[in-house]
Amino acid sequence: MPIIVRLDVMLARRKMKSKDLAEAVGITEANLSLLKSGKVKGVRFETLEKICQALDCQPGDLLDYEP
Amino acid sequence: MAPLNRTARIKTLSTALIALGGVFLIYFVWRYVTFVVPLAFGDDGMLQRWFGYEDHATHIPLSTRLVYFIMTLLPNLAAVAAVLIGIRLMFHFRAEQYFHARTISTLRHIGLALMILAATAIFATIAINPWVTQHRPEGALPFNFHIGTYDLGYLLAGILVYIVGWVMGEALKIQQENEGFV
Repeated sequence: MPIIVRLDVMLARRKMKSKDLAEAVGITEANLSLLKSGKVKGVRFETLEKICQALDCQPGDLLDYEP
Repeated sequence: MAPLNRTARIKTLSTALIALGGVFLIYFVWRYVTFVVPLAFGDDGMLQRWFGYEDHATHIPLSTRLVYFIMTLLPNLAAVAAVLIGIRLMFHFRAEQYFHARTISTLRHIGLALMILAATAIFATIAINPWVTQHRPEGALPFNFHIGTYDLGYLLAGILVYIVGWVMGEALKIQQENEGFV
């Protein structure tokens, strides 16, 4: 898929653990892991908003498009 | 109530309905073979009496009898198909496939079978009288447009079941689209 999820990069930059982000966003660690590896069909705006809030970033910081 | 008990209850109920459907099918076929077949092809004036021939010895050609038989056979075949598909649906329930593409497709097929049953029964009601009585010396009976409430009921039930199946199919697609979203 040409959409690349850069969540792991942002987590590293913010020095935040996946477990803490999952807790802040309100999703399971398993789902967050799937999202990090790009193995999901999509992300709800609600989830994206909470991730951006927790990591203090923009959606563009999390997603890249590489055709 | 615990989910396990619910599953067990569904299995028990569907098994009972499979058995009931099987018994009904045997009775249905037996009734058809012992009543309609002799009526259509019997040579004892039964068909003539049934359709108001004054002379019970009036000859009714085999072609007329055959078409009469087919006209009565079609709605009965549709009824048998509806029951068989219903039994198949019960097997899906037994296999714990409740909200599944195959189950929903089976539901739509029941609706379709009921609609075919109603359509063929309505057609038979309209056309049978003039067809079978065409050889009466006193003249054929007119078309019968008195559609039975049972047939209309089957038609409505078929349409409803089909629509329910279609809506469930769309709901399943929506669910599948939403799966994999976080």
